[in-house]
Amino acid sequence: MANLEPALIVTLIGMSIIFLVLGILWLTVFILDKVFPYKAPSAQAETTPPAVDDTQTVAVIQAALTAYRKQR
Amino acid sequence: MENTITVSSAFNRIVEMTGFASLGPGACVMILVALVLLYLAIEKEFEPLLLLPIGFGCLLANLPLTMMTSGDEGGLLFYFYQGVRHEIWPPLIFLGVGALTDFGPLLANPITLFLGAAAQIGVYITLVVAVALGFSLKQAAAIGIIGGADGPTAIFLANKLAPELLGPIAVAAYSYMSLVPIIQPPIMRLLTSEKERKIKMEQLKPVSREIRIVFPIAVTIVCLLLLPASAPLIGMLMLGNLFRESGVTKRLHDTAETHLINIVTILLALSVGASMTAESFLTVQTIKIIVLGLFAFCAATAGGLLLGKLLKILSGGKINPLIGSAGVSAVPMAARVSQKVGAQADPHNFLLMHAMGPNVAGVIGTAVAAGIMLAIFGQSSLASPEGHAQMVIASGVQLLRSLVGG
Repeated sequence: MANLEPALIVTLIGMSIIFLVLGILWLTVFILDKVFPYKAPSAQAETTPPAVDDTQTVAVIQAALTAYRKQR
Repeated sequence: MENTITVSSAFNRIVEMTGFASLGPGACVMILVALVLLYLAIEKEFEPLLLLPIGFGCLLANLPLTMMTSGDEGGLLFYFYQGVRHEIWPPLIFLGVGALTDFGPLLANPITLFLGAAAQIGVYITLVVAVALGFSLKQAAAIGIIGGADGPTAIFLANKLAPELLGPIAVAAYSYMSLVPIIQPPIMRLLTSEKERKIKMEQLKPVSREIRIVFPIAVTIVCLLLLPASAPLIGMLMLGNLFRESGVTKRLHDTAETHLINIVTILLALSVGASMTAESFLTVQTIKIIVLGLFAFCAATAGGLLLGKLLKILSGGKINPLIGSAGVSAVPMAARVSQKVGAQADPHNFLLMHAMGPNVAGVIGTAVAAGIMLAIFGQSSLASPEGHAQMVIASGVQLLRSLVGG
């Protein structure tokens, strides 16, 4: 029990320092938010989509359509 | 004829060389403890990534004549244990944790840093109670850190302040971390009203990439200037996070959050298990530590919740106090519990991302708490290891007395 008073002192010091340190971090984030505010990405102008070689896809679709028509 | 070898003498010699001849009652109990840990890890899925290798390390260490305890110089686990003894494994785990952690919810609502701070009351209240139960100050500090709900930090501090208690502290810390979904909800319902649990919080605002990058650097500078003793943990945590947020170290980030943390987890957990011998584990102190660990978790949860209620009042009802319980560092389990209890009150309430803020703040808070313990109780340039602690405490007493006017 002789260590009870030191334990209480350590508790007081420890919690104070923790709140102090995290309080400083809170302030740091607050300042950072002012210095580096979030900027929403600007709306991109509509551009022509890059050309994609989809001849194979077209050929497959065509073949499927032809097969379907033959069945009918 | 001298040195005659008979069948019976040869048989006796072989039997003496087996583990059965050296298997004592203490070792039998510890083998049972190891099997229980393995059962909890595999069948109940209690933190299996840690409890399984801890349990297996305990099994290896307690099978006789294997030279597999952490103290058997020349044995395999003796060399693994050097990573614990020289404080290498826990900071490397923190490197991986930092690489895995998204501080975005915290940065979007930085007031939740204080919830991570409030949860550390569990650490200090447990320290006081441990002292009252007969532990020394250093031992009580190592036991108290269980309340931070952070395994690597608990191992790091226990190794520094009370290596003889490393085994039970590690087992208590990881076991209770896995029991967070069972321990926390009754306390959350006890300390909050139905109306409070239904509070819906505003959507988190987005955070700029620049803040995400500067934050780990700023935390490192601030924390290490204030508390140099926290450098290994905070430094590695923030380095890992910088790997993640910088976007220019993808290979390092990938390694830190996967292979590195997995490898070190194996080595750390095996080492901890290897320290769990009958002499060190089967003591009355172990039972006290198990009970104190539970108390620490409960006190930490209550501390976070109570500050959450205060912040609710100060914010005009915008903060749901349930997220305060996530101030313990069990990421992301504690945040999920906040979400679950909130959803039970209102199924349309989504608190998970809000709770992640205090949850990751708790990781920083626990590392700071460990740094404070090390600063007060760790080795110093003073002749006596206790001298530094006595000096700090004496200064604190003097300051308090001058403030009170005594």
